[in-house]
Amino acid sequence: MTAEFRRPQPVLDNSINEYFFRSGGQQVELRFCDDCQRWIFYPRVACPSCLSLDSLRWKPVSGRGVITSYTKVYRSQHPAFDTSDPLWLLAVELEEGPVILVNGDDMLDSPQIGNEVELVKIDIGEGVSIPLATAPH
Amino acid sequence: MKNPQAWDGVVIAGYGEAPYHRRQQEHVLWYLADSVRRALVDAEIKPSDVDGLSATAFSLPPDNATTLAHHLGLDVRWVHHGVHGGASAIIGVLEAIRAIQAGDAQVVVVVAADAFTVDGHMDLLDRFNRPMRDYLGPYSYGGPNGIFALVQRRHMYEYGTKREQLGALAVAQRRNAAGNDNALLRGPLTLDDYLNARMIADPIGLYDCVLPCAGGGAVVLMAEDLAKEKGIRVIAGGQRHNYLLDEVVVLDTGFQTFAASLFDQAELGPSDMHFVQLYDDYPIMEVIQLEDLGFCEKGEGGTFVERTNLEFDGTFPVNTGGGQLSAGQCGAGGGIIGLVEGVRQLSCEGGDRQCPTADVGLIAGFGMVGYGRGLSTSALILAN
Repeated sequence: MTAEFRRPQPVLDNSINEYFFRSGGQQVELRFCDDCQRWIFYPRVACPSCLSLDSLRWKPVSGRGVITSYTKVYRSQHPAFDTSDPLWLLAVELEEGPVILVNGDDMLDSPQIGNEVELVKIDIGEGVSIPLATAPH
Repeated sequence: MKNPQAWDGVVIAGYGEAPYHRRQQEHVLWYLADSVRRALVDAEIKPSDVDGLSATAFSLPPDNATTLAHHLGLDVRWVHHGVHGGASAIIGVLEAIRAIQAGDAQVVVVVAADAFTVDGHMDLLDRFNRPMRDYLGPYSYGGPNGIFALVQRRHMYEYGTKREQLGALAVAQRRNAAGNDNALLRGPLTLDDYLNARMIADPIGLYDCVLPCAGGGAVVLMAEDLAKEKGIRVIAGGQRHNYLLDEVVVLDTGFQTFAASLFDQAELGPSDMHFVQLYDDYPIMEVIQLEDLGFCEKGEGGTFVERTNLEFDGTFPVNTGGGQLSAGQCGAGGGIIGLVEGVRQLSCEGGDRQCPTADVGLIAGFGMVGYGRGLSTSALILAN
């Protein structure tokens, strides 16, 4: 069990990051372009394939993905993590295509490239939740 | 795609490097000013001769290249503010050449500097760009160390690259640094030191990482007919941003898209280079640059550095002044240290680390780390 720590709050200063961090309930929602039928991460104002601003909507992903790389972060970039044990940083290629970078949760042990994971959302306070990767059920 | 227009008619007439300080002793503007002043003295010109400025410094805001020019007393026709991380200084040189060729400027100073501590370096991440701030910020990701740990892990997985191979780069560069009295780390580094050092973001260890510091460098470019003596010439150049748009952990960089053009422009091949100055924020990125610039096959970079004498007097000199890994990374100044070192070598002013033969060399720039990856690549070939 990792020691107690409080994650830094994201700066929510526009409708896109507000939505990503405050909405979607337990599901991770990504931007999806209806015209291109493509999923987008990180969330953007327009589709990076067709530049449409109107064809984008938020859609939940399955949450399932595969680890494509990982590291154990011994020296973090933020003092909020000073009281935490080193966390895993994972590159997860979601079923839908995009790659997301997330920490593993307490249940994730010994990640390997090719392992399946699931995204789960955790509440980090102030109505904000972020996805972490956990071992699939 | 055809090659870009040649880079004729312009020479690099001078260079300068500010002292590197482990602890910031002065304002960032001081390191910028000192670098510019030294370069102008070397080129034997006055500030009033300068009519163009390219400036890059991560800690420049709330100033910018225009307000910096004003601070330095430069009334200019051409201004470029580098926003390409460690690729900026080379891009500043390439774009300055175009401006001079077109007659939009005659004498351009290209400067890059910063005044950083380790904490200041990490503080910068929140202001660096939105995707990093928003979508990496709430995680413990280790800053660029964690990002390039993901790259190194994947490169080791895909190609069998070993830490021992990457360590060979760090060790050889530290030997080169013994001849650079501006380098902050000049004592010898052994492979055991490298392998046994503490992990920062596994597999990135302490000696894979640069030491953030304060410092800077500058070069002066001018129309050939104004130069007092034969200067150093750019004979090839290229840049690329956001290659492989959808990739996050990137092993194939923008260098792949213009490496062939670079050597075609120069009418030379990779083995004709007397030295290379690679962008060494991490040994793994140097290995990737060697692969993507065509010095070896993709995936063979580890083997290449392990088997090659990379010292300044070896068969394939790399980062002849020790690179950022030995000198320290003065923020955006990391993008000009290789350029300054290349000009120094071609001017036969390398002192204790002068390459025995130094008539042509390649300089690479890389950076602008966004969501999980560097976005910008740039390179040029210099000849005397």
